[in-house]
Amino acid sequence: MLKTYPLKMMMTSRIRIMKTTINLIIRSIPMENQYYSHLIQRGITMEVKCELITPIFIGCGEEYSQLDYFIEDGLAHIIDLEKAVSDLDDLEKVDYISGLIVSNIDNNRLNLTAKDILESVGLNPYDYVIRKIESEIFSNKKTRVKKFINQNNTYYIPGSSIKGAIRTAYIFNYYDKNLPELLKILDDRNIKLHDKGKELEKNAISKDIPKDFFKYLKISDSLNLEGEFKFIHTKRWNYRKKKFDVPINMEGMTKGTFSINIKIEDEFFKNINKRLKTNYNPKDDEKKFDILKNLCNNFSKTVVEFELKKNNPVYVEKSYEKLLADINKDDAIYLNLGFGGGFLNKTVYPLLWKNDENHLYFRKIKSLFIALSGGNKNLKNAWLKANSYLDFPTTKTVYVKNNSAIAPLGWIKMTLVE
Amino acid sequence: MSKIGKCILNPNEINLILNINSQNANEIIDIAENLAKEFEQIPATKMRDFYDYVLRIDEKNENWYKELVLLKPKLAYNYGKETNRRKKEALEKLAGTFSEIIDKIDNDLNKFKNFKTFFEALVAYHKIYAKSQ
Repeated sequence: MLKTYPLKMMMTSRIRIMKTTINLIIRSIPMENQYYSHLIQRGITMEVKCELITPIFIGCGEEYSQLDYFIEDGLAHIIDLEKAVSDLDDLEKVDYISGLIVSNIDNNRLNLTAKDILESVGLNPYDYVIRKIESEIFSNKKTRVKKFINQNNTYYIPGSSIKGAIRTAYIFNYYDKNLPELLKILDDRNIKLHDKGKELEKNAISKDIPKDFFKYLKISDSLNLEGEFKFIHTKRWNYRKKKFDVPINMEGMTKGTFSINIKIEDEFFKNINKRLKTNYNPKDDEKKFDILKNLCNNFSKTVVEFELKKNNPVYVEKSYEKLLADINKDDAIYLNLGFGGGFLNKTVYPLLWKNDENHLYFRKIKSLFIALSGGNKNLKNAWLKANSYLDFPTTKTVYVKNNSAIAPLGWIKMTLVE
Repeated sequence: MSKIGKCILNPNEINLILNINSQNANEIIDIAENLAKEFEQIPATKMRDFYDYVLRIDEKNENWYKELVLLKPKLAYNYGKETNRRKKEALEKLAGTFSEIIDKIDNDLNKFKNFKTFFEALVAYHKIYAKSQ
């Protein structure tokens, strides 16, 4: 005789099987597959629209040298120099180009452009242009330009960059509630100075990599990216000196939108609850998104308020003021992307500023960071002169146009697509 | 042919590399190891890229020598792009040395095969000495 089961138990089992099947399907189909889009509508994964508030730059560790582009009429022409050279049949010309490159290095700068090189052997440089991009860099400057991350010449925003920013926001929130733990780690002489940043992260999340609960937060790379990319100027603004320091040229995304898919498993929120002593129990995407919003905006609000206490260029100040007003509406996630540096190099300053208004710990923190600066004389001297947490960091990279600082970099707005 | 970079091998050493035999094999190994030390600032992956390029050259293709000569602008290109002073100096030596070797190969297939054998040894030692991957 076959064993019978109650109807409820049978239905539960069928639902579990169905969920498993759906998960297997999700893992096997491309992210942009229409069927996957259909699953999005069923709440398996939430779709989030991202919009640039300020220009962003996400590097890939590479840069365009003068061998890779030339600028004419406000456009940067990206050249495939290697393809051009391979088209040469005359070996003497191949040698000539090689010698030309090597012999025209002066103080680590190349005094030629790709166009100069190709024209020198009778090649038409326009035949080897693989892409054109608007340039705010003047054509008479022969500079290197940091390359925006791309795959086969297609720009994208890595999901890992967004996840990393959310992770930083979480760590901020953790120590916002557990400042003594931060101070304890900073003061622990058994932890090597340059390991403290990593130790802070481990303490907030997990000391064991397999138990890192951010594995339950999955974010796709950008989808439907529609943006304006340009060669742009950026410079480091020195707060104390109130002037620009170092110019850095970048291939930046100056305007546009993209979307991402976010999947959050229940374990993520369970861990958040345990560590932040919260009681989140989201039942739908909107509630899940709202929790991320709280984490991110608490962090972003503090960062912006911190920045507004500094000596910003006027347009940057206005940009931050508008950003703060938008964050206070609490209608979206506001997040900063792309400007790295670990927690200890970046995020710790606004955190301490927020939590140590009376500078009870400032002297101790100062002595720790003087020790942390090691052989970096500039950093050490900066700390020796510091009288407040607002004295750090000493510089800020800003977007510059027509010799004016226009905006900070990296801010995006994220909204849930209903 | 024009001079490219800074060659750090003497003519005798280049001749040994391009005419490998059982009598001079040990000497060639020593040359490979010493060169690997000179090029230690070049990332291992980059050196491997150059080697992979050479391996992809089809010896049966009548234009194999042109493909080999194209290694010169590839090396020059990487030298031109590099900003780190120490890496740049190492790349200049690599470009100059390989340029000289390529010129001496001069469309001789047997010499090219010997060069590949030498390059294999160089890459193996370089993996040990490279300061970065």
